[in-house]
Amino acid sequence: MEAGAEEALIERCRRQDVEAFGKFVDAYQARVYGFVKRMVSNADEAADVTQEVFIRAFQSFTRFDGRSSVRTWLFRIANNLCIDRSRRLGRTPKAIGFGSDYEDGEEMEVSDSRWQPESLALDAELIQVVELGIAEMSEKLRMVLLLHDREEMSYEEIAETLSVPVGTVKSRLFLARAHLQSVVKRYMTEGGNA
Amino acid sequence: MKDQNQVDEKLNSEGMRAISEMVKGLPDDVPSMSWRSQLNERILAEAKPKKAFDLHRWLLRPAIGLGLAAALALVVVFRPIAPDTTGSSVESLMIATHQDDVNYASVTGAGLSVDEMTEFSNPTPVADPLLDLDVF
Repeated sequence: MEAGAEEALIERCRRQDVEAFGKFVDAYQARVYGFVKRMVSNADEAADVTQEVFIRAFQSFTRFDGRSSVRTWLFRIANNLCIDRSRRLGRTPKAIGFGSDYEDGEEMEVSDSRWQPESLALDAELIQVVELGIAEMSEKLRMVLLLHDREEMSYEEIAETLSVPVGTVKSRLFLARAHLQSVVKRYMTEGGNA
Repeated sequence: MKDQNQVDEKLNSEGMRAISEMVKGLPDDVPSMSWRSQLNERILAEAKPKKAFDLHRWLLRPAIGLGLAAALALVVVFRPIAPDTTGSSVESLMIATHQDDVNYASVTGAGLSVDEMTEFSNPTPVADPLLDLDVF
């Protein structure tokens, strides 16, 4: 969407224009749903949470001041709702997270001859492996990975969305990718190429 | 700073970029049509109270204000007025006479008119007191 057109659409959404908000949903529903689905790991719950994201956005559009981009604002709502849901369900972060073996990143460096990124092709099985690898991560790592590598947000935008320093964003991204590297390597050496 | 540079370097390494591309290449999921229509219904439901609120704000509130002002005006214009006893109209004189009578009656007691009270205060002298006994 062009910047001018998006500005106009946002202005109409601020005035609670239902038709304009419908277009806004059209523009963002797949991205928000994709993010939420990977955060909650359940399609039905993801559908509910995504609806809630857009309802909250509609309710609070009058207070959107434009200091951040609308995408950052929307994903902040999505992120907060995912965290709320996780707290409500009392789910603790999964095993892969801070303090894991990948903390210093040394052992994950790409010196392993079996690790050939250029030869990686996303077939259905590898997609499933990567999705499982993402689902295994702690929420904090997953959020950063999805916002950066899926939504192509900058480090600064993610830092603003999650209210953490840029350095924290980078280290979380590194840990998240390192975990995925290890998952894919394991798949290639034990499963996929065997 | 040095640590940050190291992290930047590692994030830009070939292996990390490959993972990034892999994540980027994951297929997109699109919510179903029924999900979308359900969302539309909820958005419309959210929007309706807003319209009702506007109606209330722009029509009902001024109407209530006007009603209150009209009621106040009615009270001011048609407030009960005490009878005018200071004027010179017939009604005023009748009211004044009546009020005087009431006042006199409360002072002198029942049964005496104003004229009787005046006569009593100035009795006519009787020439022969025995004449009076004739009445018995």
